[in-house]
Amino acid sequence: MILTPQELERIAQLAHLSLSTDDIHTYVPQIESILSHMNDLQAVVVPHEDPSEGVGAGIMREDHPMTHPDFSPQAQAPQWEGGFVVPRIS
Amino acid sequence: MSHIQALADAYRQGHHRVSAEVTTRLATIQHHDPTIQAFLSVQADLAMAHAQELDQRFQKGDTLPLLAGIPVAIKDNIHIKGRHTTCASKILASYTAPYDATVSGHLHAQGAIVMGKTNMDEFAMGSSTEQSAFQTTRNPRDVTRVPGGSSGGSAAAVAADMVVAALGSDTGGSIRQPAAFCGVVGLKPTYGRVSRYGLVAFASSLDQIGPLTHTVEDAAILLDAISGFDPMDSTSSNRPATRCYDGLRADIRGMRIGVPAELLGDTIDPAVKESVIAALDQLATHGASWEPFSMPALNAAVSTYYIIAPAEASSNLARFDGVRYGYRHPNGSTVKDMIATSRGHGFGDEVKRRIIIGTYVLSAGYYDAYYHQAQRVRRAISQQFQAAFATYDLIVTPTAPTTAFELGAHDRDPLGMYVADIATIPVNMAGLPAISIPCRPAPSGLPIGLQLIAPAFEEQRLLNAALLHQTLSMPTTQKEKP
Repeated sequence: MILTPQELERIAQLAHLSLSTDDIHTYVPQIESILSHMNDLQAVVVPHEDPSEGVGAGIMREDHPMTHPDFSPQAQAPQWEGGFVVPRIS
Repeated sequence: MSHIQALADAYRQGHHRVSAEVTTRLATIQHHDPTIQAFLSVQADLAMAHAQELDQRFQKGDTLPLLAGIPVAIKDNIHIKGRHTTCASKILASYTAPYDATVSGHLHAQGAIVMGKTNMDEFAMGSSTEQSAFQTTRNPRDVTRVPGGSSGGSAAAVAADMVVAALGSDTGGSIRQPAAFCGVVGLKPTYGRVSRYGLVAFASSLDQIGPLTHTVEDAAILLDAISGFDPMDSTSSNRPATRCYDGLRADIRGMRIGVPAELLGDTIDPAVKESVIAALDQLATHGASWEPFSMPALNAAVSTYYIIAPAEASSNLARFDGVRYGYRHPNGSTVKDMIATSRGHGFGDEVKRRIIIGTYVLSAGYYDAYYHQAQRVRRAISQQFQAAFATYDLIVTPTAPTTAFELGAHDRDPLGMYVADIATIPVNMAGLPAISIPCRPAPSGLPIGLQLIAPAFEEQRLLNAALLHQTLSMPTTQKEKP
């Protein structure tokens, strides 16, 4: 047993989802069978290295904007009518 | 031949009017859509007004882009300024887009006529378009069966001739699988080739927008129209856009094709397998060669995807809280309570299931076992594709293990639906381009899709091979591009 109704409720709270009792009884066996299926991943032998580096990472990461000669955040910013004023923090 | 090119020529030569074309398409929608239910909204007045304006410009002799006057549909998770974007979800039922998606802007700038927004699985989570909060789309080839998903509305609208072409989004096969089920062409471009700005995010590292069309030539035209660098999407590629339509040649002489043995095994329906092998043999008679090879990581692709995609979705969908967007439940004694109740009532079953799975695999104690390991396997899948492309020019697989299944077949079996994505998922994991084109139908008459996969940014190679297959499959109706 991977998932109990109590564990499912805890996860739902973390996800800010209210679930009815019926929902919980429906989801527990379904999600448990999905998670059991995913356990086959543990058997896959893969190189022990940081997956955020190397192959494909360059085109898949959102936190490193692509560099481009024309790319300028200021130039691409929306044009606000009457200008845009940065609020002063006192 | 390209349907778009034929229409564009007829408009330019004065043989046909845009308003007549739009009237015919609207009549087709009116006649068939009460059964097919492909559209969530149709903008008949706007489409006719746009058509009349274009007719005047054609009459004046203005030189207009190839897409001017071409009726298209757009999946309802792509923004069009001032129109609803519902993502087929109750939680966004009354949401109006405040800006154009980059792809919508491209289509508008080139004069395409948007007939309406198409149905989909809620937030693109599903493979049958049965998960829409509003309606169930039916397959125009057999209305007792699903059109596939999640871009089932777009595929059905093209297959039923309601539009010439449509845009969909593909996170794990959501363009290619419905294209296969409905007997049309579906292209998933390389990750980064088409801007995702204005696409409501499901799994940001996997999502990509692409076309669904009747022909390979039309797919090339749409791809050219929507491709290119976009500073509004930080994952957009800055490679110069190429013109695939201009470079189309039905020629694959000397190409080496690899077929992963894992996707021709017992899990594939015998009729699908026979059709795919027949297509490969046909390509071999025109100068290509093919052989099976092994990609062991494919066996773990479904598990990897159904960890990474829900993990990203649980984060992306956190913004739908009843405060900033859409549906807010009237009850709730505290803000926290209101948020949980709004999300509990606003999201459908499949979306809630995936949010829970995503939250579970990212939570303390499970992160390393599930999410981190899935990222490693994803990398292994990418590496195995790279290794394969050192030997082969193209990889070919069935698009889906079966033909379109009956409505309701997987209602109580979400895992059964997930594992059917086995052939399409690995492509998104590696960020590669792939196309699904119809091959020899099953004995039942239902369409079967042939999936071609190429290295990143090699859409031209993909389209050339697909064009040759199309020409060989339909010699009486298809001919070389004029």
